[in-house]
Amino acid sequence: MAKEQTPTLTKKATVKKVATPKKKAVAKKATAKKTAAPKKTATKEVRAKKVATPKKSVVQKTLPKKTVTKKKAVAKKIVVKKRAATRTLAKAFAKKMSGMAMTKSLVTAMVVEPETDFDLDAEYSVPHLTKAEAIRPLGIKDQKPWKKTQSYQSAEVPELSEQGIHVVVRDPWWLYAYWEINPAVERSVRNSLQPSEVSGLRRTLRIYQLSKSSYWDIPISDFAESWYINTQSPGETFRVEVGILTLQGRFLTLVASDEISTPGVGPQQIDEDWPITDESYWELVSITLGNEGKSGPLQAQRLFEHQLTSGVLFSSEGSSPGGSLGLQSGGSRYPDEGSSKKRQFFLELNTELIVYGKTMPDADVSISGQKIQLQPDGSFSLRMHLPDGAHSIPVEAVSVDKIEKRCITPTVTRQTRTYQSLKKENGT
Amino acid sequence: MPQGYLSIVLHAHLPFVRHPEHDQFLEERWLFEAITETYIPLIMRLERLHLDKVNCRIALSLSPPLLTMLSDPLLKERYEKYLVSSVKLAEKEVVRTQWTEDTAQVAQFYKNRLTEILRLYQNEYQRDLLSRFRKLHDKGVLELFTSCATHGYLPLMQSHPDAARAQIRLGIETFKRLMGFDPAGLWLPECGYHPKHDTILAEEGVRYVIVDAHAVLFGNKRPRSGVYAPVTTPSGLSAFGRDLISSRNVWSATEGYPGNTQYREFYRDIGFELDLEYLKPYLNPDGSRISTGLKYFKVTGQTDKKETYQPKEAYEQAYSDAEDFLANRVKQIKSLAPLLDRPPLVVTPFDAELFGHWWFEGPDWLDMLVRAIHKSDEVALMTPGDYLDEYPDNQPMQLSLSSWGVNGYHEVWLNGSNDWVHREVQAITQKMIDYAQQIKAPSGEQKRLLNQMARELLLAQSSDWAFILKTQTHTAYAFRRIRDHIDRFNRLEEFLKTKEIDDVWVGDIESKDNIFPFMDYQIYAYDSHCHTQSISR
Repeated sequence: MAKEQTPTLTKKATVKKVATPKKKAVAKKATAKKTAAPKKTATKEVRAKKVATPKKSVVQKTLPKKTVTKKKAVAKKIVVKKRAATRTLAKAFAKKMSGMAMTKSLVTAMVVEPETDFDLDAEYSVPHLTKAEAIRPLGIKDQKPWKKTQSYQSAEVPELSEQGIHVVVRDPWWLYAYWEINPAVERSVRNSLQPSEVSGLRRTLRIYQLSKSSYWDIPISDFAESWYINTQSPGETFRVEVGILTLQGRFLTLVASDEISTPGVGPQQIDEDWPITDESYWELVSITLGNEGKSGPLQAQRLFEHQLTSGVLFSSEGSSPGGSLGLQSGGSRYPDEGSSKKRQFFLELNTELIVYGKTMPDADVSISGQKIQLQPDGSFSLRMHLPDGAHSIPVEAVSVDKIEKRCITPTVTRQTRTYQSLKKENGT
Repeated sequence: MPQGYLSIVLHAHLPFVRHPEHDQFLEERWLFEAITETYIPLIMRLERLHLDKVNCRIALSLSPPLLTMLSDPLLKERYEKYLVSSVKLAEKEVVRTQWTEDTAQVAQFYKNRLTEILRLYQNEYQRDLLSRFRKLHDKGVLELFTSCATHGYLPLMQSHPDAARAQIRLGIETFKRLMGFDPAGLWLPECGYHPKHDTILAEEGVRYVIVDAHAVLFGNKRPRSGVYAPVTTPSGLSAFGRDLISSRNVWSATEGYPGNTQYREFYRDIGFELDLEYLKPYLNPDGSRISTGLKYFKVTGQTDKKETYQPKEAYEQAYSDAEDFLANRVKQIKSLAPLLDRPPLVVTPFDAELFGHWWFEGPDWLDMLVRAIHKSDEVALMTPGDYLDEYPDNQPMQLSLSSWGVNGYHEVWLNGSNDWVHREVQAITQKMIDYAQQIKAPSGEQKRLLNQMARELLLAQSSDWAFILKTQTHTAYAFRRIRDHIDRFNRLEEFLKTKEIDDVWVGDIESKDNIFPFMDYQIYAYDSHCHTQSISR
């Protein structure tokens, strides 16, 4: 029956929530992407309203971290009221959603009127959903989009809601999720709570591992806007939701992400067109990693797996400065800001000697046999590192007509004595 | 006939740093130091190799920001000033150190070296490094290619394909305009590969990319040749996997060549050691100590008592390390050859700035390595492009998400120290795409604002800022840059919306962030554009 509605839906494939534009529309067979989370789809002419009420559900918590659930959530009452939505709005939302591609999806405030009479018996099975996810929000009437949507002419662009959640794969084991929650959505969700549920609410991150039809929760602070999620599962597909968990275990979704997959880390499919024996292949891998000559292919494979799981495979060694913080600080591209090292107390001492003088500006002056440049006023200045010992500095000036010559030779001696002491602390 | 091939791939990149609003700007020295220590020394040696009729084939990627900076008149002028001042300091140092014989020798070494570099830059190169690179390309010494527009880290743009496309297309466009021909391939910033970008790369005409080893080893098929032959992605892109062991020979902090006790110690610079008054004219205008490039000590060992650097001994060390590297590759190729159905190709990519700037003797090592390979019957140099000409049919497979950063994925660019950057940049990316999709027929003024907004977005995307925040060096500058570009973007957006435009301010921003003069913001509507087209069809 879902098919029947499609013509009235917006064409954008990214609009995932099935809307029920007219009465008697029934959503059946929610796809994996569907959730009972309050999502609104603005169709061309109609805004759908819906209440999903769970009939019955059983939550089996087999593991503290991952809970296996597979059940039917039954949306009983779907109430629809025809309401005009502007084309612009529909277009703007659709556009926004298409722009967000796979890691972002929008959830906008749901408008509900539970008192209305249409009873649609909309029954649809939703994989991985529990009673907690079926929500029964209470009404916010005539709610406007939380940010003003403008129709755009040339430069004018509608201000779109930022509500949503992004999930980025950081590596095969970790996801990074960040979100923004529309206060109006949160209000409406909270309004849907039963009086008995109001205390002990907990902001919760729920991660669905789709292939295993399971999920697990991470309790988070109300102020958290992002989270690194350790999934420990390469090659898996996830969906992340931020919601409110009641003490009774009901989960009310605030935002839900699209599906996101972590990359696999092997083993790979054998390519029959490009065959290679196990033995040769693992030898190849050993050579890549510098493990060659360490016995047979099985060992090679084990070593590879060990290096993979222990992170050695990707360690900074042998990597670039882009990653190679191993090359001390700074890497190769950016000159270091300071070369000062962390040291104990120290004293360094050097001496330098400044030799300066003045003559006719057009004279030739040499110091220790080396000709030097004079300032326009005939002055000159030299600075020399002065090591221990006696040093003579013959300074010679010859007049421009080569008739007069003056020589001055100072001799300087540096002698250095050093002394160190270390006060011992009591008892040492 | 050699038994295998070595592909040396260098990637030269610096973030776009150009501050006309200040007479001197500390971070512009990143470019100046890299020119003096890496780019010119490389050009000198490669030209010499060509004159000596040594076979040399090296792939070099010049990033778009670097290309732009190397061709920028203001920065060229400032570099020359910087170099003249460096020569002056080196001359003073020769006098100052005359009573300490070994130091005096190093000082003299620097003076000669810098004087020669100044002469080359002013006279022979006519301040134009790009044409020298172009000549080396024409002579068949270099295979030149480029990277993404501002070195944006592509995998984190996974939800905005148009943002990735803009990085790729504008990068290639910059290269074409400044070099006059098509780049041979594309250097993925930080070797960051996302399978989603495969099609975009192919559509933008990219022939090959370099990826880290696990991109291939964790691909969807078992690679027949490991990382020792490229693979072809579903869109027809060729990808070369990095050989880890040869990289480690050079990169590793513990076993890598640059750590040899004979080599120059990077962290001991007279800028941090000599009397402040004496150094003043060569330091930052605020008087803070900075590197001068004059470094008198060798690595010596795990001690603070460093010995004086001996250029000749270091040079000999570079020679023996080049021989060692080649011997290891020969050994490696000999063990690989029986396992493959064709000669193995060992791909070793490096950041170009490693050679010369960080590892002072690196250019000498490279030069001697090329000469040693020239004499070898067992190994020959081959660029990725050459390989594809010779072996166009490679195993098809999809690669895994990957990068060459620590831990192999995105952790360096996405962690507690810098994830806010990702978040904020994503937000303006979304705005940019929204505007591009909606404003199809802009007025001249709108176009101007939108183009500049696109530049600000791109500059904020540079992977360097997130990297710097992570490594905790120069964080203040990186922070400033991200903030500036995001703020400028938002202010331009405000003008776009209110139509009240501060013309002077916009002009000022355009003159500062003047990268991509050919910008057309419509690139950010590319995919939606295609989408509409396919629907109307």
